[in-house]
Amino acid sequence: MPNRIKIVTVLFFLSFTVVLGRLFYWQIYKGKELAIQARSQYVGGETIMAPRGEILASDGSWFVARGDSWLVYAALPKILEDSKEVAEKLAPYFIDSNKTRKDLLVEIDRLTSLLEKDSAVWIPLKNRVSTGTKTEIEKLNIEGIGFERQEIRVYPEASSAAHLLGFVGKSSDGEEQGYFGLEGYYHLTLSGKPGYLSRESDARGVPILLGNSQKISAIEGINLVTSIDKPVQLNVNKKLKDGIETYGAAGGSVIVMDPKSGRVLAMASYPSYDPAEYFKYGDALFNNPVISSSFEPGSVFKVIVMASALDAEVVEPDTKCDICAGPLKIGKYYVKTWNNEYHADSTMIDVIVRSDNVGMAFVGSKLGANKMYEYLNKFGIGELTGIDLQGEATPKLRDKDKWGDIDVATASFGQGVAVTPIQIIRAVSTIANKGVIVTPHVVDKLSGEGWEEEIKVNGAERIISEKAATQFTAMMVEAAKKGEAKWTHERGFKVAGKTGTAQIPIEGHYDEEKTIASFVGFAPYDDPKFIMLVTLHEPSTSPWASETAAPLWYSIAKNLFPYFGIHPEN
Amino acid sequence: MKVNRKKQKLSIFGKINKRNIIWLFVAVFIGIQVLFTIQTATAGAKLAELEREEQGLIKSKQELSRYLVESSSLSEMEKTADELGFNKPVNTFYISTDEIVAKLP
Repeated sequence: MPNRIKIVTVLFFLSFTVVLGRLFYWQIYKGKELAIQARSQYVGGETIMAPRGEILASDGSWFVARGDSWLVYAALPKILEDSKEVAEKLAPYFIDSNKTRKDLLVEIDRLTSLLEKDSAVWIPLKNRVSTGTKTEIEKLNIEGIGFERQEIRVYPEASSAAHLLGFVGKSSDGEEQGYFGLEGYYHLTLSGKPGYLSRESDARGVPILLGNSQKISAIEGINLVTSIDKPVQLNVNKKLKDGIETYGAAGGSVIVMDPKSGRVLAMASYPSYDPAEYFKYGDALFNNPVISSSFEPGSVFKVIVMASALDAEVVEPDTKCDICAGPLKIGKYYVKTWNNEYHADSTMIDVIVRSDNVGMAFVGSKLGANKMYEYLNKFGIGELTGIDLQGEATPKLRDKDKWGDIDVATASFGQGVAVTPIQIIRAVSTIANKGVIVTPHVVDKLSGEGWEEEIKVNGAERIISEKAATQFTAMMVEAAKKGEAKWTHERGFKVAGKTGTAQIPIEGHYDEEKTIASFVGFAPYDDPKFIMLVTLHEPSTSPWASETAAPLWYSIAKNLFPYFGIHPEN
Repeated sequence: MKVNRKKQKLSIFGKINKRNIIWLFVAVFIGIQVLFTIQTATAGAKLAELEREEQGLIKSKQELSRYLVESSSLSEMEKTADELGFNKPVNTFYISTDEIVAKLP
């Protein structure tokens, strides 16, 4: 009996020692490692996505909306089927329907090589897969294939405002990043701030309420309510596209703006791109020509110079040009008129109506280099307009002390100076706005859930007298009615306008054939509802603005008149 | 003797009462603990269920938003109108306000 007790005691002791040993092994020796493993099992953390803000038209409809797409990934250890088989099943869903069999085989190879990677456990297979395609793939029931939600940008009006909107791509860190246009300029406002959720859950994923948890809520991106009038934008976009085809131009752009407030109502340029598939286009197309491409403006620049001269009171509308009888010689250069016709004693009104280069050289000489420089500065030539679009650039204005006589003469009819379309429309809108310059802008308001905030724009500033602006408006009215573009003038409508045909400088000389044709005008001239600038690059049907840009301007304006409630006189 | 017995009974009851009270407290405490644990676990499951519902609602909202965005596209509407044979008026006729239009007899 005592022996049996001894044996039992020893067994108990041994068992106790074994248990103690195991406990030591698990708790002390393997303790840290197991604690980490256990923690990873019941503590989970996830980033809460901050939805990017939407971009809305002035009527609240969408230009850019949020949408869903899916990232298809493979959890490699969970894949039971052969890699090649999985690739063959998935590949048809990852290529466009119009692709060839060769493309399909290339896609299968790509997927197979991804699925056979030894060093990875989680592999992204395809980005931006639609919900429909996701449902189709789910039906295949492939073990180890999963989906992760991705937010995408949806463009219900396709590429009709691509340059204006910009696009969302990836930064070098793989983060979402807005580029160009509104997406670039308002990136921080639109992007919001992601949140984070960390908490303990049981084996079924049910949260343990008594456990540790931490939640930082995501801050949604803010919506932009723009001044863009959608029907006007779509009309402008369509007409510009048609105009480029009709006049065989290499490209072109149109801006429509409210001259009193600087609100941009429409802005379109061609060639363009699809912001939803920006990666299929070259970088050269992303820049918005309206704000970043400079050109020698030609005769539309006469508007600025003549208005300056009227304001400086160096000329009056009926001042006679005493050097307009023939070509003007300045140093070794000759200034000629566009049609080589000369009219002695032309008044300033005649000079604008006939777009007389010699007459403008006369105005330039009256104004002088210093005053011209000062006025160009006042009109914002050579400086950024401050429009709320990413990518604005400006050519530099010649330094004040470097203006010779020939520079003043050529600048007075728009040669030897470079501007962007937005600078020109802003300067001419000053005339329409009775001498007050405004800052062009695209976004009116920021809006979120239940709140709105108006965007304050830099204050308007008077830069020329109302008298000078009114006098020059009358000249533009005459130019529209009786100038080279009179054939296309919409009779009865109160339009003030000016054509501009500029030669293109190439390697120190002007191209003999290629031109940039433009027409700027506003209506009604006594209470303008809109100002519009049309620019066509290298029109091939005719080099002249009066035969290309001007008819396109009127073709668009014809739709804008009833839209803005503008009635003809009489 | 009778008085002593009564005293003894009282002291026994007194001892029993104290023990019972302690056990009662312990039992109630354990019961409450179990109850709260069950409730917390149930609430966790309920929270998970609510989160699932929330996800479902978010998904529905996204679907409806997508539909709304697509439906409000003026470009698409224009295409549909063209297909249905609607044309934009080419000429606009302006009528003087002095003229009487569609006057009733």
